[in-house]
This record gives sequence, structure tokens and C-alpha cells, in this order.
Amino acid sequence: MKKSKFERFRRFLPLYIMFLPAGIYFFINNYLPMGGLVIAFKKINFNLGIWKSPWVGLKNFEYLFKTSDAWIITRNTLFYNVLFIALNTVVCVALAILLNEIRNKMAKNLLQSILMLPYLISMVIISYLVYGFLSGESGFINNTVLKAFDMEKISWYAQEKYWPFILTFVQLWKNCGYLSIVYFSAVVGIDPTYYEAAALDGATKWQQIRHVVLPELTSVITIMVLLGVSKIFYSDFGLFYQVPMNAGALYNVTNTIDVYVYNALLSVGNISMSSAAGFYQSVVGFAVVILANWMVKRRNPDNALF
Amino acid sequence: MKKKLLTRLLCMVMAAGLLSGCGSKAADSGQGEKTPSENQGEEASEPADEEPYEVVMAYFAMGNYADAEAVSQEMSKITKEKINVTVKLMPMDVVSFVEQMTLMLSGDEKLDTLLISQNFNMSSQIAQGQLVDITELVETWCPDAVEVIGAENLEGCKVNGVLYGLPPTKEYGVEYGAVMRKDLVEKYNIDLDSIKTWEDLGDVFAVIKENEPEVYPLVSFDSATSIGEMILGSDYDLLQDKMGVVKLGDQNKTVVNLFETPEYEETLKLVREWYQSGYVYQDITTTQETGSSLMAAGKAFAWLANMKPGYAEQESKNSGVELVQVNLSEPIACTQDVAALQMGIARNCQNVEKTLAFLNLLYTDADLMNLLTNGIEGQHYVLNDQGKASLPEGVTDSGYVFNHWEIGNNFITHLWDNDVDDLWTITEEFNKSTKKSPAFGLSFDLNDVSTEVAAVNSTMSQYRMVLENGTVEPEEVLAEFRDKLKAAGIDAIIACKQQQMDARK
Amino acid sequence: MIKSRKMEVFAYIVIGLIGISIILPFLLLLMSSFTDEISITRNGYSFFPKEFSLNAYAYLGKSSATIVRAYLVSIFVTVVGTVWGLVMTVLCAYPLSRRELPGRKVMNFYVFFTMLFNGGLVPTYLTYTQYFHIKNTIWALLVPNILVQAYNVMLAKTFFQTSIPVEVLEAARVDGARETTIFGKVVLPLAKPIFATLGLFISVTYWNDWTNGLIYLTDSKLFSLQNLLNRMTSNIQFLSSTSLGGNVTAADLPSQTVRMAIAIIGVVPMLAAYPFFQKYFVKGIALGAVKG
Repeated sequence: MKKSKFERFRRFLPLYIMFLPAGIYFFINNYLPMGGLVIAFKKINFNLGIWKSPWVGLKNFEYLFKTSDAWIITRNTLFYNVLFIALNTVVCVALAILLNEIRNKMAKNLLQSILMLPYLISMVIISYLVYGFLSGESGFINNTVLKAFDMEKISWYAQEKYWPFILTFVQLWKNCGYLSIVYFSAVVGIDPTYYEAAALDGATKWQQIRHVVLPELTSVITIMVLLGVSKIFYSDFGLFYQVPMNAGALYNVTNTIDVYVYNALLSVGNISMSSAAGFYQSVVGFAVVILANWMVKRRNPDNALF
Repeated sequence: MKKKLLTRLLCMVMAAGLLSGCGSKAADSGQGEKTPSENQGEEASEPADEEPYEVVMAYFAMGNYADAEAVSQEMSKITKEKINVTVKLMPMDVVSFVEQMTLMLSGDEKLDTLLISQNFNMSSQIAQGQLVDITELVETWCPDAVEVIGAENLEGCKVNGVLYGLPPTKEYGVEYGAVMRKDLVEKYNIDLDSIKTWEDLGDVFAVIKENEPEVYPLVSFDSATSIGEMILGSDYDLLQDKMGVVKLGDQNKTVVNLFETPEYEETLKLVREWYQSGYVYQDITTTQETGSSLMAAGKAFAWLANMKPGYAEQESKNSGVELVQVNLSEPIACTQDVAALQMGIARNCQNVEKTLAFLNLLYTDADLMNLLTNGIEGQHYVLNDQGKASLPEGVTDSGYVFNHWEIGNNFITHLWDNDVDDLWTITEEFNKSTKKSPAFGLSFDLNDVSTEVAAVNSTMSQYRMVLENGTVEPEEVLAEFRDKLKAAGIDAIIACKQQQMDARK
Repeated sequence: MIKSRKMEVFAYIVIGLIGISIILPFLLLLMSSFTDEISITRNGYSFFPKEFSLNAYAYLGKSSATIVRAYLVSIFVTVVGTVWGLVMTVLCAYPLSRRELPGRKVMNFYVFFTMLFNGGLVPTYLTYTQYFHIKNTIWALLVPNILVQAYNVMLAKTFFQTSIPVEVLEAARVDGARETTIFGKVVLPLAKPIFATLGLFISVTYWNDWTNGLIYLTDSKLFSLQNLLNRMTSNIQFLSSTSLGGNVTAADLPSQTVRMAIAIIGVVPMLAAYPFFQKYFVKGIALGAVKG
């Protein structure tokens, strides 16, 4: 018994060694500095050092809840995340499957490259692009499109009703290429014999997708959703701050936790308070993902994150 | 090999040296708590062959600073001879400057003196013990600087009675008003002298609006300053952050909530009226265009500004359109006008006295200051007959561009050929003519209310711009704004400021 | 997959439309980088600029030496970082994908946990600068935070699980192959699409990263392209949004059109490198076919 355990260990030894470099990296990059999490609970004085600085309990967290908008901010963060996760999954899986339908290699490569294009540029640049279209005075839509139809100019940056759609669109626009590549590489990995079997059984295209492709993609989809869920309390700062140009009139639909923290600490620059925000976001994300992971695990342990 | 690495890592964790280490090392060498007596009188008895001390000076710069090292060497020649110090300039662009200061001041990196500012987290740096108290040291080591800056002005830089840095000499005050396109002013015979109040401006805008449909009568200087802010600044000392303000001329020094004052309401009404009459650039809150680029494109007629001597000339140069200036307030001096930028001493500094002696030289040594602000003569600038500097012939992109207003005594440096003659004399006159705010000479320490400050900051970023630029109807929105400020705890901030104000009286 | 003609036409239409919605904004970006600055302010953004101008590129041309240097730094960092990061990510992910490996759950959690928690900016900075002295070295652009990312490890792990059939591994094992042999002879050849996908993601991360430069570099000689572009952009932004005053002339600094030009020169190299990765997507498909 003992020997067989040792044998097993020896057999797998190469695998442990393979893991080691990254394991050490994570240790240095993440675990070693993790003691710094205490910063969130301290009033830092660098002359005393981080450890010896006095504890202040949860004081550094207070500002996160001090505003009467705390509810709106939390709601926005959660709402957009859930929406984005759901929408991205549906759209990008569909795109991946469609991409796989295209037989012409040149066309397929070209379309793929185009889809990836937005992923290559930063949100700051995207915010200029959006501005180029939506700016009230010089924007393309107001200046050319609406003019052509003899319609009134719209002050896009002053009307919050448009922004849930604009933000969702921009987000999808930027990320769908990336995500569909993830799903696409899973689709091309599917064993062709499965389709042949299904085709022999007289399955229609739709049936093939439902009964062959989707089940094969389940584990990738599950992981991508779980990874998304773990960031449920984070928001893309660039998307919610830069793209709407931090316009005050839009705050009800653009203010998320990251935007709030940025605005709140802009001139304060307190490292304890900013670590408190990060800690809060991580803890909530962690709790949610543990729950989600547990639910996945009950159905199929192989698809779970850990 | 791997084992060794792992052992080393484990040792590092076990020693727990990581986080406490950086702090304790600094504490051991005792910076920040150095007493002046320790090293007093050292200067005289210093042996001549002692290793020179290297002063590392960090500040933000814009434009090209590729030749900073060469300039450092030239500066070192002077400082080595005078105080046995060498200089290493560490200019950074703005974004990395703020980030780098947070980081460098957390560790033990070599850094002696840095630009500090309420805009760049100075209050956190103080609370976190990252700056050295120089209240008493300056008397001994920077007597010249103290004299040049002026005791009253220096007093204003103190936070809770403690001095952390030395401000540069520059204009110590502002006058509020507007700049307008000269050609249009002349075309429509606008009598600038008849403009006495902010309301009067409306009539001027009406003329432009009617006759020049392509031109917006009023734009903002940039998207970070609002129209209302400029109007209110002529009535109130905004105390740097607009949270709790003091009315100019209020000798009781009562800190009040700006957003609850009748003046605030009136200003919002006026600006809203302008906006609705189409006087104001419609995209004002989100535009990516600066006032000068709109001016250059012929789309703007005026913007409101807090001005200093030579402002209209300077902005004419920037936009390429000739501008005239209308003053609507007398020159006002608030604490911020003096204390906005200072050179402070970092806790990392190994020799506070030498560093202060170096800073002192920046207020007296014209050659040194000219090197710092203008670069090396012949390479980065040449002097013309009137003693003004210009780029050497054939040079379009100088390897050393610096902005002479951040550091040291600017009044001893060369003017540039496009500066107004006697700029420094005019500026000094201006400084003497300013009317001091009742709250002048007090920098606040808001660390006890940092929770409230954070929440109020966020609320202000939501409402201020839209209200103060007139893009929303103030009636409802203002009430909402006020409620949220209350909830965010603005009263606690006001109380905190009042307390510090009273303590000083 | 058994393809159907109808489905293919549908695919062309859908993806084509999406493609157009992506191309159009880029076209606007490109055109506005060639538009005269004042013309944008006056006439607005347009696909057919009234006043064509190369000023934005001329402005960038003034600092061409710096830009070329930054290009070289970026290319070096991206190539080295991608290879290095890819190797470490794959080596880390493969063991995690092996269901029978003892301790797998703990290792999995160890990796995942880093996705959510780390020490934060200051402690990480202190670790890297005080113990590893990477400040102002090229390592600063390669190592911190982006070399191996838990996110990519999780992705790679899932790919291994789905695209390498357990039966293949079992068969190799029954034949008496060692773990190293299985990995080298069976897994690696099957994993090319995984490498391509991950390599693409990692290289984009390296190419677009500017935070490491911001945090660990004060010496501008080592600036990557993104650092340089970021610096140019932020200087304009700061200038146009500060009233600290002074004698800075806005005319000296670029503005709207230059930002567009900056975006263009930042994207082009990545776009050029893209077909390289694509080659392996195709190979993956071919392999799948052989397998069947």
C-alpha cells in the first residue's frame, strides 16, 4: 500500500516538476506580497512599517458605503456583469459555430482577423472612437447621419436612457472576437466522427449543433462563465469611466464600483482605502464563485474550476 | 538549484522582513525624526575631500527631457563647489510621477526631494509619514529661500503647523474674468470697460450669438473647469477642494457649504440661462476640445478664467488668435495660490540638511536656476540682445523642455523671447497688490475625515460639472445634489475645517 | 463538421455584418488620423475628411527615433514574453488537467486563488524591487503580473481536458509510456491549436501592457511602445485638463488627430503578426481530421 503510493508519486513526479515553475512564479508574484492585504485594515505609517502601523478595523471600508448611491453602484456592477456574461456566451458561441461553417480558408482567416481587431486596442482609444461617433458637435452620427435624415441632434452624453445599450454594444464589440476565438478553438477540436455518426442517424444541422457541438462545448462554457463570475464585483474601468467621458448626467447607469473608487480617491490617494476596495471586490467575488463552483461540481465535477 | 531558490523564498517569508523591513530600515536611520541639533554647524567643519552627497530630485515635466542627465552634470559642477552636493534630476511625465511617488516613498529607494502638491496626494503622504518635517530646519538651512518666499507665504504652506516643503516664486494669486476674441470685440464695438459684473457678460454674448451664428460665445478653458466655478471663485475662497469654503471678506472665517449658499444658486441660474440661450458650447461637459483649440478653429468667442499677469498674451500665443482680457475681480490670493506646488523632502532622504542646502541654492543662484529651467546655454537656448532666451538657430525640438514655475526662484531666471517684458517685475507687483483671503495661510489636514472626503468627491464628480455648466435644470438637480452631499458627510468635513481654522485664529 | 450550404451562406451574412460594424469605426479612426486638426473641430468627424493632412504623423515623426526604439523594446518583450509565458502556462496547466494526479485539487485552487487575491500594488512593488531588483531592467516588462496568468492557466487546463481524449492518454499508459513521453509524443502534437490560442492572448497582453512600465520604469530608454504612446496621450490630457498654469504652450502638444495616429501605429504590428497564429488554428483542424 505504502509502496504503491510512492510508486504513484514517482510516476507523476515529472508532472509535479512541470507545475513547479509556474507554482514558484505564483508564489512570488501573488502569495509573497499577500501579507500586504493587511494594509486594508491599517492606518499606514511608513516610518513604522506596514506591520507595526496601527489597526483601524473596517474604517478604510466605510467610504464604500458612505454614499447614498451605494445601492445604485452595486446594482450597476452586478447587472452589467450578469448581462455581459450571458450575452457574451450566447453571441460568441454562436459566432464560433458559424465561423466553423465557413469553408473558404481565406474568408475564414480574414473574418477571424477582423473579429479580433477590437481586442487589440485599448478602451481609451475606443472611447475616442465612440466620441467620434456620438459627440454632440463634431460626432459622425449627429453631423452626418441625423443631418441626412433631417433629424434633431441628440445630446448622447446627456441622456442616460441610451447608455445601457451603448455600453453593452461597446463591450460586446470589443470582446466578442476574443471570446469567439476561445470557443472556436474548442469547436475545431471536436472529433469529426461524432458528426458523422449524427449525420448517419439523419440529424439535421440544428440537431447536430444541439446534440454534438453544445455538449462538447459545455466544459469550456462553464469555465468561462465561472471565470466571469469570479470577477462579478469588478467592472471594466475604461468601459464605464472613459467611454461615457465621465459624464455626470449618466452616472445612474454608468457608476460602478471601480468608477466610484476612482472618483472618490482621485485626490486622496490613500493606499489603505484603495486596497480596501480591492479586498471587498475580491471577497465578494470569491464567495460567489465558491458557490457557483459548488453548484457546477454537483452536476459534473470535471467542469468545476477546482 | 530549485531547492535553493525555494529555501531562499521561504527564508524571505519567515523573516517577515518583507513588509516590516522597509519600514524599520527607514526608522533605524531615523529620517523624518532627525532633530536639527544633530547636524548643526556641520557645514563649517566639513572636510573638503568628503564624498559629495547626491541629491535625487523628482518632479513632473512635460515635453522632451532627454538631456536631463547632461543638465544634472552641469548643475552638479556648481553645487559641488558650493555645498559639496551633486544633483540627479529625475523628471517624469505626470501619470508616472504620481504613481512613482506612491511607490518610491513606500520603499527605500534613493530619493531626496520631490514635488509635493495637494493635487498629488500630499495629505496622504503626510499621514503615511512619507515627508520630512522641515518647520525648524528651514531657518538654519534655507534662510535665503525663506526670505525670498516671504514668511507669511511660507506660513500658508504649513499643514497643522508643520512645514513640509518650499513653494516656488511665481504669481501668488489670481484675478477672475474672461478672455475674448479681439477681432470680434472690435467688430461689434464692445466696450470692455462697461463690463462690470458677470451678468454684463450675458449682453456681450447676446451680440455675438445674434451676429455670428457659427461662433459659440462661451466655451470652457478645458473640460475640468466649469463656468460656475470661475464665477464663484471671485466670491469665495474655495479652500482647494470646494468642500467647505469661506466667503472672501468674511473676517469671522466661517466655513460654509458652498453648494447651500444663495450665490451658488444664483450662479447656477445665470449659467443655465446662458446655456439655454445658446451662448454656451453645447458639448461643454464632455468635449475633448480645449478652449484654445475651439478658439483656433474659430468656433469660440470667450472663456472664463482665473488669470495672472500676462494671461491674455499667453493664451493668444497658444491659440494663435489675438485675445483681450476682462477682469471681473481684484487680484485674490488664496492659500492654494501659494502652496499648490512645493518641493518637499522624502523620508528616504539620507541627508536632509544637504538637500535643504541645495533647495536653498535654487532661490539664490541664478546660474543654477537657469540650468534647471532653461537647460544649457548654447545647447538648449541662446540669449538675444535684450537678454531673453530663445531656441538656438536650427533647433526645433530641444532636448530639454522645462516649465519654469514648478521649482525654486523663477524671478532670477531668463525670460523667453515671447514672454512679456518685465514679466517678473509685473508678477512681483501683482503679488503685492493681491487681496488676501480671510483663510489665507492655512492648509488643511483632512485625514480624520477621509471617508467623507472620498464620498463627497464622488458625489461632486457626478453633479458639479453638469450643474455649473448649465447643462441641466438646477431646480431639481441641485436639491438632489445637496441631499447626497449631506448623506456623504460634507458637514463633517466643514466642521473639521472650521476647527482647524479656529485653532489658528 | 458536416457542412451545409445554407448554413454557410447564413454564416457569411452574420459574420459579414459584424465585420462591417467592426471595420467602420476603424475606418473612421484611420481617416481622422489623416484629417486636419482644425477641420475636425470645425466640421466634425467624417469618413471623407474635407481637409486631408499628415500633420499628426509628422508630429509623431519628430520623435521617430524614440518611437523606433520603443518598437524594438515592445517587439523584444512580446516575443520573449510570449514564448516564456506560453511554456510556463502550458507546463502548469497540463498537470492540472490530469484527473488522476494526486493533489490536483489543491494545486488547482492554489492557482485559481491568485486570480482574485494578491498583495496589491505597493507590496508587489516592494517584493519585486527590494528582493529581485527589477526596477529599470527589462525584466520589469517581462515578469510582474503577466508572465503566467491564472486565467490563461484555467483556460489551457480546460482545453487540455476537452481536446485530448482520455482514451489516448490511457492507451499510451498501457503501452508503458512514461509521463514525459506521453507529454512529448502524444499531448504536444495534439495541443498546437491550444498553443496558438494562448500564444495569441499572451502576446496581445504583452504588446498592450503599459502598467508594468509605469510601475517599474523611470528610465525612459526602456519604455515600450505602449508606455511611450501612453505618455504622449496622457501629457496632452493633463495639459488640457489642468489649470496649474504656467508657460506650457498647448500648440507644442498633439491633440485629437495625434491620438488617432497613435492608435494606428500601435495596432498595425499586432495585426501583421496575426496570420502567424492563424496558421496553427488551421493545423489544429487538419489534425482533428486525421484523428477521425
